[in-house]
Amino acid sequence: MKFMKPAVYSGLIKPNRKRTLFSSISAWILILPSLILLYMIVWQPMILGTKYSFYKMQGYTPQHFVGLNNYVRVIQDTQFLRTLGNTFSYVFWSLVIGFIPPVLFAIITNELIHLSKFIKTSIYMPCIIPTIAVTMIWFYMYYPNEGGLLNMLLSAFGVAPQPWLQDASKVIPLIIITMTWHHFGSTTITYIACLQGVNQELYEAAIIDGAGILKRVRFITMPQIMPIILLNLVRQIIGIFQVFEMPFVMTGGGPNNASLSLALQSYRYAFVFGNTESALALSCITFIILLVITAFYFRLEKKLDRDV
Amino acid sequence: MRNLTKTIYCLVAIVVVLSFLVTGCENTKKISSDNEITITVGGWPLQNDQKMYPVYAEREAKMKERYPHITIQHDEWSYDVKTFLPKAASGQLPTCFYVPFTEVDKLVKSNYISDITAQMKEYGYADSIREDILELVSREGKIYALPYSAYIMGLFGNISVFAEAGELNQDGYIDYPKTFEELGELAGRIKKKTGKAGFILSTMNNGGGWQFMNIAWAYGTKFMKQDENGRWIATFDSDECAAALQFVKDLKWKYNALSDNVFIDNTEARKMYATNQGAMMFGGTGQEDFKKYIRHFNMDKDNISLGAIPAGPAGKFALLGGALQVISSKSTPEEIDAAFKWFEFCGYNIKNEELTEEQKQLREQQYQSDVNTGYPVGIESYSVSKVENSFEKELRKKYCNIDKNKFKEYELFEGITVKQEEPVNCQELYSILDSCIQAVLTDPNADVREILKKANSDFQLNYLDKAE
Repeated sequence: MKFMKPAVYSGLIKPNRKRTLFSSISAWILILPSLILLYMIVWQPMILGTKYSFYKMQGYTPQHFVGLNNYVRVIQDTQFLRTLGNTFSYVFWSLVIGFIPPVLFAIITNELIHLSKFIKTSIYMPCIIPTIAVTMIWFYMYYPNEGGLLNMLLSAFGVAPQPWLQDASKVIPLIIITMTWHHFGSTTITYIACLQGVNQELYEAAIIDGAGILKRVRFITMPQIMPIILLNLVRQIIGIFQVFEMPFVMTGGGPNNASLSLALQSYRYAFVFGNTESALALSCITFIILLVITAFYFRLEKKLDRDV
Repeated sequence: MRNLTKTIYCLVAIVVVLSFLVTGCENTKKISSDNEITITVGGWPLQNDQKMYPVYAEREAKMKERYPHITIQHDEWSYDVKTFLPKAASGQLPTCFYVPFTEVDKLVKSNYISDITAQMKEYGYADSIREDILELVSREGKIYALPYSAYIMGLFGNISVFAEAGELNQDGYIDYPKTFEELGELAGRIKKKTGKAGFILSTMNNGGGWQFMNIAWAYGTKFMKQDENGRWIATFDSDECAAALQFVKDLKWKYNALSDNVFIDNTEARKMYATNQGAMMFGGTGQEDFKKYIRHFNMDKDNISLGAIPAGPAGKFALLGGALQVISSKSTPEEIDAAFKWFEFCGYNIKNEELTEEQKQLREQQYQSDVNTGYPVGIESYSVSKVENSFEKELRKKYCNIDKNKFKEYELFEGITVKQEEPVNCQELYSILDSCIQAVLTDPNADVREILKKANSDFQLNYLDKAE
């Protein structure tokens, strides 16, 4: 059954703009406090941050306009390309390690008849542990001597202790494993919720037509959960792009800057070196990169909507 | 009618919310009348600190008696790099607060602390402070901080770990190494015997660079120089610095003297030392540093021993550090004056003048409180003033609760060249040196010269070329 759109929305009757605005005045009044808060907490810092990134700063006080100097300075920093590369490396490893498993796990859990509640609760447990505690747990799991949990396990098989986080080539994937362990549950629960909204009749029809599990996943499940997968993809990229706490606590960006991310470098500029303008410029650069990724997501989503 | 009522409700709601917002944003700073001055003192002890809170409360009460027009407000906040900028930007800095020596440059550049030259002269402090320390708190002829206490870095030894390793001498004390090679060998032996770090080396959050300076200077490193045009040139891509970094590399790969964990900042280093996980460490020797071991990690004060930093080919060098009192740049001259009165009232006297009875009593109270808390008292410090106050010496002797033999080597201050921090972009230099240290500690094949070449070039391009 197709619902008819009201004439006013389907363009047959032109709405009286003035009257519509006036009739929604109470809604505007109700929303105003939230807008003011939003302005004060979100928009104003963003706008001011962007504005100040073009200024020479003294602490948080702008001194004079310097154009793109702060940006040039940040980009010319010999660590910039490495930090940018590291950040993309975080994103890459997060997609390799942390993106597909929750989807697969959600599909499997959704098929379970017994123990599904227990499994859902179990996988969600790490999400309720504070990030700092998770970081410390994994820091000691990765501890580089015989006392580290992973090295204790390896020693049972006669393998020598590994340096783990101290190995520059492995530090990012290892931090990503920690992050994945922490957030795996919440992402999986989102997918399970989405899967439970899929019309069961589609599966029944597919089974009658002789479709096996793989075909059902490919032709029913995946198209149905694709929007949420895409949304999570973008959220994950945005989230990982701002990775800060775990490298900050576990490695301080080391060894030898191998795990230094853009956000951590921005923190160093602001709080360690007192160089606020560079911190703001680097944050704006990160923001622009994320803006491009988000725009790409919206285009992709539009295209998918059209295709569906 | 119904619509009107709805609109009225909405308007009332919005007025209420806005009023909350407006009152929430109201500046809480009290406006004083003409004679009334209110200052906020940072680092005030927490109410549950049963030892220090009453001492401060009494000081405050007596100050009020003496200066009824000055009101003291408490702020438990103490300086911390993570919280300082937001607090300063929101105008919430206390009138006066402690900072370590390392932070002066950043605070002056960001214009969050006051020029106190006039008051330093008025109170007679400027002429009484040692030249090297006065230089450290001055920029372009202006004084920005009041040096409260000073120290030179020393080599800490943990008696318990030394005993476990069987490395105490027959009198039960530590024979401190005289050279870096001896330090490496001793630390390696301790690790072999106990499995604990023979030497605790900071490697991150600028702690590595801070400790490395003492080694690098001893090997003859010059980190930077100024050319005839006033431009700063990085000069640590040198044989001397390479030898110093090679020593750090040897600590790990030749002597096997360090902890297996490479990621250690100053807090972690202190924890390792205080909880008997390591035998030796370079550290700050100010009274506050000692208190941290006991307050934060419950260390037994009798486990602490202190020697001098060993000598390298260029001699013995030790970095100068300490605590400063700074005054927020938002303060008026009257508030600065009130803060100086507070310092003086708390017994700050570097002029070797006779203290008032009240000041003597308050100073004595501080010592009594330290002794009761179990803090080590009686360690000779690097004096801030040209001539140290005699009453302070008396108190140190009277309340001494340590075995002085454990600190003998440090207290000699023999043949040590005291160095200030490098003059330009010091924190950035520490950060770069952290990376160098991590590079040589995580790779046995690391090329020391290549690492220094890159570090020198990075420091030049990223910071010195852009220094103003």
